[in-house]
Amino acid sequence: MSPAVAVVAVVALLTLCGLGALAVLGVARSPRELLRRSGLAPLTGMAWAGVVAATLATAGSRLSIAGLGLLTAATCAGGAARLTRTRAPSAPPERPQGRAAGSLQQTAAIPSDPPAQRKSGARNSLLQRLVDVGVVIASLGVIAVVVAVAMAALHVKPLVEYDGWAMWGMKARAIAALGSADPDVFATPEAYERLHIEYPLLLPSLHALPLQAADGFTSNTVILSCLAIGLAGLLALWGLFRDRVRPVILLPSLAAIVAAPRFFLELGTGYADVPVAVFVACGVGAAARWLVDRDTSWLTLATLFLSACVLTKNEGLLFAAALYVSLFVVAHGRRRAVAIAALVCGVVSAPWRAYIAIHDLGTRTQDYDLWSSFDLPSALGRLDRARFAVDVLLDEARDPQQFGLIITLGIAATAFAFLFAPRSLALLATGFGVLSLAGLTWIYLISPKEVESFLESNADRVIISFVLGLAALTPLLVEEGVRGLARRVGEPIVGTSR
Amino acid sequence: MATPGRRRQPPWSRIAALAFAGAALFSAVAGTREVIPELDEWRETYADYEPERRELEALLSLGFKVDTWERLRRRLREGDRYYVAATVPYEHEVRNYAGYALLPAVRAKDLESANVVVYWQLDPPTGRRCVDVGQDVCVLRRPS
Repeated sequence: MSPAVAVVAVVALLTLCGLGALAVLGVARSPRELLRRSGLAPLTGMAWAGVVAATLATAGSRLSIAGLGLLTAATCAGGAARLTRTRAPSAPPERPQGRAAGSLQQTAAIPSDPPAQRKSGARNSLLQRLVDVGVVIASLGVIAVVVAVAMAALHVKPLVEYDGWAMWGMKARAIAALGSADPDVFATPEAYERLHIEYPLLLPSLHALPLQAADGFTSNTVILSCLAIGLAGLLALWGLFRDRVRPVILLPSLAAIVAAPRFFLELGTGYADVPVAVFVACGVGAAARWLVDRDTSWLTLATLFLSACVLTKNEGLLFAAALYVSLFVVAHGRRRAVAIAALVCGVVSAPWRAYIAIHDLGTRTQDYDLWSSFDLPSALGRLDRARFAVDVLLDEARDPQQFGLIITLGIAATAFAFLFAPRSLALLATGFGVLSLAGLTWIYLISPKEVESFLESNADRVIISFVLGLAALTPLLVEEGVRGLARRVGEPIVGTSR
Repeated sequence: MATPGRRRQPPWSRIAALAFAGAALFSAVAGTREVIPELDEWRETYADYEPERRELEALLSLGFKVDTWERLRRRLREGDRYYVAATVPYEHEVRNYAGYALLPAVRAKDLESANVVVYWQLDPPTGRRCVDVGQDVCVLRRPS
């Protein structure tokens, strides 16, 4: 089996698994709703199977293709049972703007206009509709072109960048070739020093699935597996918001992420920074939907994505903590649910933390030791590093040649949401942004490494989760702000039952 | 809501939505001008290579010789625990590449626990048969 066919086959199985998981989690309560939210399925399957695979790896085993088949069958059976037990909601929530046709409804909602004004309104609505369709087509065009070019490039690219083959490629190959996460590799820092074996094993375990199915080892399989996670993330963001955010806002937002140079160029290295950012972004997005929709299943889905992010890279813990703390602060009356969700996330990551402690992996290899945070005199004595780190991190996030205008749009959308949207949503965006940036800065502050070279080696990568997390919130912030503005100035709020 | 005889106010919410959409689209289009040439460069570089040649890119980027690593790979078997004895300035690169390329053989944590020792530009102990694989590298299989 060629690498591409192996990756496609595994993604198909993971998508099936994700459909089952969506039903089990209650995100879809009827077959129709499952179909409508099927965009979430590939990433949900990756997160669910990834958490299982990473936990098996912690026990010195691995998730095989047959195991994935069994997991998929069991998850789908659970999902089917839940679907048959759960009655579908009486009416699914209406889409806020139909298919780029809100302006027509908006004008039609004015019954007292005289005929001449109605005629002019109809002319305006046609123009508005054309503009909407133009924006949607332009966005889809950008997405299609960039994805096609990326697929053509990543289809032939091998692992070349150092950490790509030395760390991520080696770990995935070891799990596939050795038949398990052999402790001689994964718990032996004396042999595999400098290869960050203290990083959790979700991503190598996911990459190992197509490597098991493919003929021989081809490093391109790892890159195609990364590409699949990136594309699944984009699809998941669309699936998260398609029935809540009008296409004229959602699709340009996705196009901006797709075309941000860092997104596909980083995926093409095989590094874990975009995969972890994708889980962070979808976790943030699902949590925001829970905040505005009050449907617990979104919080459950957010917890699954955040558990996956915690088991992808050590920084995942920081971003998950930033989100849960922010959510806890803004979710008045629902804080118990947030605390339980955070606890579940902690329990899911506990086996890996125990593995690190048992094999004494942390102290030997990692770039920083969070316990040194408690050495306050030492940390305070290094505060001069904080300003420098913040400047460098923000410069990276704002670099238009890396991320376009994503972060500027995110900040503008947050300000807009403070003015017109529910305050809790704007506070969530602010809290997540400030806390994740503060957390990243703290790492540079407590690290024993020389701060300039440490930042130079990874600031452009660790910032991706911060940027994509805010980018995931942006369309919802704008949509809610636009609705709030419409209410404020007395315009009809189009096509929504809320 | 507009009423007859009163001037209609601009649809502010729609203007806000379109302003955001325009800025996001601008960002996307500007991004394509950066990312597409770089992705194309990858495609142009690697599309002409045979799949086997692509796999050598990491090795060549380190300045290693292909033949040496091919012979080294053939000398190691699944289940082997090997130790790389090297004191060259690029010893970490040798060890890291070995860790990746010599799988399913696994790096041993020390010399004592290895059944195979790779002497990388280092003299092996006298009186033992160390198989030369080129580039002043030899492989010594220890009796189990």
